[in-house]
Amino acid sequence: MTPSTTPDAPIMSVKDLEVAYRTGKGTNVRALRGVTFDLYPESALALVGESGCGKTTLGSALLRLLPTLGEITGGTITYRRADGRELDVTRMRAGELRRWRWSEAAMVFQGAQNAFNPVLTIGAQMADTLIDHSERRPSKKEILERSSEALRSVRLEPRRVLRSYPHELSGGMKQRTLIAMALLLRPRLLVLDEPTTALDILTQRTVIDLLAELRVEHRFAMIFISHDLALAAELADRVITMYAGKVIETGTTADIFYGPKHPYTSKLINAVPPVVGDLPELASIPGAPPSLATLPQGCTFAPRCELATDACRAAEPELIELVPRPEDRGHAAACLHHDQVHHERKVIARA
Amino acid sequence: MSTDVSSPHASPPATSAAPARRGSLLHRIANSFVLRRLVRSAFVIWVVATGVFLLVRLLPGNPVDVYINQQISLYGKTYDQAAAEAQVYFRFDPSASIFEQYGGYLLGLLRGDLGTSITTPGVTVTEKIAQYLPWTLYSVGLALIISISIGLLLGMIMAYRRGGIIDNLVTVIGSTFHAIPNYLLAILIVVVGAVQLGVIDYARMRGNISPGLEPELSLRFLSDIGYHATLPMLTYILTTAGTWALIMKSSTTQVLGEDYVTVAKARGLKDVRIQSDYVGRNALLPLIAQIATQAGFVVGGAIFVEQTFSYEGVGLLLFESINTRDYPTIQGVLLVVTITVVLANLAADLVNAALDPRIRLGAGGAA
Repeated sequence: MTPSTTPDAPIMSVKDLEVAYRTGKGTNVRALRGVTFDLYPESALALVGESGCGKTTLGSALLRLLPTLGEITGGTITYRRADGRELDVTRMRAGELRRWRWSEAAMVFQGAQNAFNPVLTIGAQMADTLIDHSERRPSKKEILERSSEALRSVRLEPRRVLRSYPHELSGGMKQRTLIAMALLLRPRLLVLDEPTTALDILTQRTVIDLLAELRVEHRFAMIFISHDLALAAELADRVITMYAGKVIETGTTADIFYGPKHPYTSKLINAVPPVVGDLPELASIPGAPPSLATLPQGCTFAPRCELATDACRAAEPELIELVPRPEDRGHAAACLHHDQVHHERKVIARA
Repeated sequence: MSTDVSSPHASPPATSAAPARRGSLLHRIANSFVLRRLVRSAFVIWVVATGVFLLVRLLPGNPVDVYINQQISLYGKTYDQAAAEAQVYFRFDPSASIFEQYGGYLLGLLRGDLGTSITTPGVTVTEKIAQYLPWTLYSVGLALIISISIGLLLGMIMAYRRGGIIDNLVTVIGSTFHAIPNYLLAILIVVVGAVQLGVIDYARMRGNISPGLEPELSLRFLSDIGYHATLPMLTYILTTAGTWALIMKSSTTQVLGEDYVTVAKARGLKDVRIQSDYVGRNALLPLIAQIATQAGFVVGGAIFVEQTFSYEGVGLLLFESINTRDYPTIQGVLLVVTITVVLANLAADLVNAALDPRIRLGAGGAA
């Protein structure tokens, strides 16, 4: 309908984003180091990596929701509205930022269990959100209709959920309610930070299926943060692997899962069982991710990598474009020896 | 997932609270949160009334003996004469068994009769308390309201600006004044302010009203009682406001770290709404019980401060009646203190339940 849905305009462009956490007097830890990517409308991007690689920091930084000690120290986050107007998220003033959040970009958090104010009903919290984002106060009927619609879209019964307090809902219901609340203002971008981590495996499945359906229905762009590669593969059409605060590989889901060109991505895939098919041998990655305070010289993965050479330890490699494609869908890896990475999985049991 | 929609007629909080509910009206009344609290409160008051009654009788010498001894030594009366007089003055008979006395006392209590004062014969304890209590309620109650308001506000500001000037200043001053007992501060105010510096006109400010002024609804009367209450109120506020600020700061700081506050920010809610409905309301919950406990202080904790400033409140009444062994009055004042604390706690329970849906359910399901 609007010209913005043309594929050539990204909804969000992140360029050289740097985030640092204050750790003491005058000492900083660089949690994000020059993260760059474009997100196109209606696409789904997965951010994967081990704990502490900067996934959640990146997700929070996109909405400027970093904890008090965290700070965006460089780079830009450009958000393109439906009318084509561009906003620099890093420079927004408080009032503008407040109105932008949730109405344009919503976020579903890791800990949905505590995402709701315990002393207000779900209905009251839905109403809060609608009222604070409206020019004129919406009528009771309007609030009820819009909240009910959002809850129905996540398969919850509005009559029951709206008058419940958060503690009266189960974990899975809370997560779905939070997703419903995120859709309440019809945002064009949804950031999901480990949306299924605290849930049991069956509830996880429900939530993932739901998200896949909602994406088709509501046509929002999605950033899916997860350490669970299987879920990422299912929901996303593009994957970014992060390591020590840096993007080390980016590509389509097929690129990453069938032909990873960074040894870390390859090992990461081999460390988790696949959703379908034969059971391969699982292998853990030796060592631990480096401390962000004392990063090794050169490639940060070199100490854990069997392909590492002196050249790797000399300078940190930049992303090398391997397969160029439009719309930032190309395959790139930050590894000098990407041609030596041959991804294979040893099958130990047939499905 | 959504299975328990068994009783659609019930109110929503009760739906998941009592799974094995029979649904009869009687059962529902017995399970009522308010009723349980009321019964418990009545029970506590009865226990304390009994306890005070027994403790007073455990004290060496009974009021009649004290009176008779006084009459004999002061006026040279014979024992029989003095005992006969005592019979006229006192409602209770010392030779009656403790069960009879207890029964009479409880029956009196049920009728609202606290007995008769010894030192001022003919004046009932109820009349005495009615004369002194309003002054304490006014001075300490108002001071408590001011102190809590200032404290809670400062505490929230401190939590929002941790490490700022206000935070550091209030922390130092608040903990200093918290460490000083209020009677000591009262004495300090008199010694330093009135005697050494001479900035306080202690002679005029002492007492609770200027001599010759009658209680009336006029600006002159109100400003006069305000003037006289200034020093005790200042003492109460200075010694407690900082403590409230520190408690509120820690409570607010904790709430600020909760996920739902971050989510509220992400939801783009207005700052004012987040501060009041999300942070303020949740930070206040754990404080309500403490505020209620302090309400007992309104009546009982003012003894030394009222004495220092000659403020004729119920604290001073208790002090004087202990000095003159006016046992019925001691009994009456202590009972009023107890009832205040119990009522304040009852109010806190009800307010808490109204503000926090989880407590309502927890109490219903626990017992």
